[in-house]
Amino acid sequence: MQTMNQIRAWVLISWIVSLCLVIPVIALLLQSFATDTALFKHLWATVLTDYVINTVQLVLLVLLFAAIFALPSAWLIAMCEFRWRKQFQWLLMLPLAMPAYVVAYIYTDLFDFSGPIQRSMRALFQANTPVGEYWFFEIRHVGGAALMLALVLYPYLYLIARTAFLEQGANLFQVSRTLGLSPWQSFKRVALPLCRPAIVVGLIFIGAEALGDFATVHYFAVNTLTTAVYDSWLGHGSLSAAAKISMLMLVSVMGLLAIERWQRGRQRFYHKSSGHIIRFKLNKQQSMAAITWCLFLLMAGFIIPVLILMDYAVNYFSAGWQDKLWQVLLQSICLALVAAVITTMMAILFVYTTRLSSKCSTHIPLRISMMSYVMPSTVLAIGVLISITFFETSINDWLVNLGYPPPGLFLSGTVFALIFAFVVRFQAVANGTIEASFLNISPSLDMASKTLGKSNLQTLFSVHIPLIKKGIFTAMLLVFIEGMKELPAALLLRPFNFDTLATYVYQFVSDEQLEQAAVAAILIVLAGLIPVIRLTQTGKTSP
Amino acid sequence: MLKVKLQQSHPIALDVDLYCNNGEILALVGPSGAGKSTVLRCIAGLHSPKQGQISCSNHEWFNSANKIDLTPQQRRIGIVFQNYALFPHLTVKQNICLALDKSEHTNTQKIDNLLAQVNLTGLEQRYPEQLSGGQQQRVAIARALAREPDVLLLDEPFSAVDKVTRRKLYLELNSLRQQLRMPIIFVTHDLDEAAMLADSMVVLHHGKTLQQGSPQQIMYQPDNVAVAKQVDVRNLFEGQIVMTEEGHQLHWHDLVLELGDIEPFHHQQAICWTISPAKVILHQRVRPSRGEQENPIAGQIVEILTLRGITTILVAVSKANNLIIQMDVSEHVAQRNSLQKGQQITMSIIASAIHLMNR
Repeated sequence: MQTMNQIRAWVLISWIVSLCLVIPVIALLLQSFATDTALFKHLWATVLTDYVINTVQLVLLVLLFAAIFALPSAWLIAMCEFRWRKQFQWLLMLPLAMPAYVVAYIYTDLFDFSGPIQRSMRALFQANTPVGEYWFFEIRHVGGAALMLALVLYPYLYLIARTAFLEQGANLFQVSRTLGLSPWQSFKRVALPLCRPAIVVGLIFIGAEALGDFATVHYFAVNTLTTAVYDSWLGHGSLSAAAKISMLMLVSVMGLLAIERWQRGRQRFYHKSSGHIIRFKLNKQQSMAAITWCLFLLMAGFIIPVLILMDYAVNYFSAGWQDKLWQVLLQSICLALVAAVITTMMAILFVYTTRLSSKCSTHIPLRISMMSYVMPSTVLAIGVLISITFFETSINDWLVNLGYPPPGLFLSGTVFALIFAFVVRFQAVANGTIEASFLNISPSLDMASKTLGKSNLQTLFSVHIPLIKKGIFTAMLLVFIEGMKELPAALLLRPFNFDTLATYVYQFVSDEQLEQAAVAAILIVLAGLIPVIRLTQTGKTSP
Repeated sequence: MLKVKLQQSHPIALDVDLYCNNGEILALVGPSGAGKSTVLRCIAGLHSPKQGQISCSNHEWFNSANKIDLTPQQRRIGIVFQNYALFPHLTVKQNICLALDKSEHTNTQKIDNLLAQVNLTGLEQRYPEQLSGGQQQRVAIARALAREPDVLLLDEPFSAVDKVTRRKLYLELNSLRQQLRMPIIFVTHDLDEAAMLADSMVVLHHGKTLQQGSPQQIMYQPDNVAVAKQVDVRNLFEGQIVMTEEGHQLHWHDLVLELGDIEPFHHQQAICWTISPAKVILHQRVRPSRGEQENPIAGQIVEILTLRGITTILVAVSKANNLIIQMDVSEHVAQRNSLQKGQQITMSIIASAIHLMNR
């Protein structure tokens, strides 16, 4: 039974590697039951309730704002005909490339008492009123944080809703038109109820992102569960309290994902059509309104922040181009590149193993390895920290018992922890891309190769890898970009005096000096644009 | 000689028993989901059945009792897949080289011979996407033959090409089998294709071998009703055998038909019977024949269809509850007798052409 033995070796390696990736989850789970509860009890008795309320408020407000931004735009783009519709179709995705904390900084600068908008208003009304004497929208508030997050997260919902409207569109909306419904009535009475499951999926994804955000809420001094995790660990040094709060977040995310799954299941019952779409032709006034709305989102979410960043970059050019920037850039590139290579190699291992046998046991490692993607980065970082600390302590104890000097903390505080976290976090990204590439290869090619005398390894190298070259490149690119942008895990796990591009920019943001890191911020935006461009290319299905 | 015995209950039920001699073409026929491709994959070592034996030229490839299960790499199999499974990133020559040992890569004579064998000389630097369907199939065959296999397996090899190309490929396969002294097994759901190319046929249904025999046997003398239905036998009826002093008779509704040999059936046994549409004899107005004395039946034409010189006539037999008998005659016979829908005709069911089966 040599065939099975060959396959078993692949399956065994897959299982071992995938189990390594869930160690942070298990460690977090175990640590959250640890007895060191003093700090957690103190937090619970004092501020944790407020943190939970803030978190719920933040998530609900982000969802509300994102729905307001995304749904009308998705409807307009999918079902209405107006000038520049095709351009707006992809332009509305651009805010995805903006880090929320950069947008937050820029708008705070704009809307603050000393910012240009309030200054202009005071000049206009010739008022020399001190702070608090007149009403103005307070941006440093949970509402402001939610607005900033919604501005950069709404494209997820926009994309999902637009696709849903298009899929439902061809027949049913035409029927609604023949029944005499106006565009607005069609949207309210046909589109929204029909696409509700897809919309819920998009909203839950945004909710999970908002729940895991650290930088924006921290900048606005809005205390949420994420900031509580940071305070517990970095402020009070209690890994146990951080683990408990992380577990609370994880359970919340799991709850959201359970709803998402349920809604996805329901989507199957909905009608999908593929016919040609006849769009509502908007009149001149309606067209102007549609263009204004789309332009507002594009300006607010991308163009204004980018223009201001460019202005900063030009004005503070000498401050921006520091030697430190080059060093940080190099470090970020190396880190992201290593993570990209490792995750892609592991993705090839997991996905290829699933091709070798249809047995359930060959597919589990692939699924296990994708589990960590649902964890907010902060939670994952705590899990990584706990598992590495446990490993180091065990090694130290073991060596001491053997009479050797303990090596100390040889992993935590090194880039290893960071790379491990990145690999765990982004494995799902690589897996998804590699799996999609493998799916394009007919299973009969594998069979043909085997009957031509090639082993599984030879088949992988001579048949599959040449055929999925593009997929490998895309997987590496996506992980690389995610690695360049990743902030919360980097903040918690980076070694002393070690910065990534994201932590470098964030440091300046939190010191109210983004101007000096504008060049770095632009680099992050440029990196973020690459997957957005890819997404718009693959999503260009509508005529 | 290839001998295959397979048994398993899941994931796909298999109860297969077949053989194929060297130089012979065996067709595996059956509806979609009958397990034809699974049987092929078991032979190739791409799927391991729960139980059974597979041996080729006295070499055991699979024996569940002795825990022998050679890998596909060890079996020396040439297989041509339905979509040909050519490696799209490799040229014709590279596709063939993949099947050769590294030491043979420089053996251009061997590669040239293989290409010549399948009429592909001059196309060695092309990529699969630059080839027509027929050419792709030839590359797949050349690649399958490159390892000098002990068995050649073809999984629906003609389904991906148009009708004209298919006819050419039939001829090429026929001439190829003259050169190859190995068992060739091909899977098809096209009965005409199987009847034309194969020396023997195996009918599979729900993973079970229903019958193995020559195409003539399978098509005109199926073992049972299940086989008859699988090979779409026309004129399948139920009746009862009665033995009288005058001989053996078949009682079919209100009709009594004379029978020839009835072994192994017995008196009063309820059976199924069939007759090939080509062996139902039309009583011609202008040219009566002696055969007309034998089992004459009257009926009314309910449909006439002509295709490529053969006229198919459907006749409702009033004395048999208006059951329909199909009769195939040459087009000119139909024209000469001015056959028309609604016309009353008589025909003969030749006793020796009646094939009896268990119900």
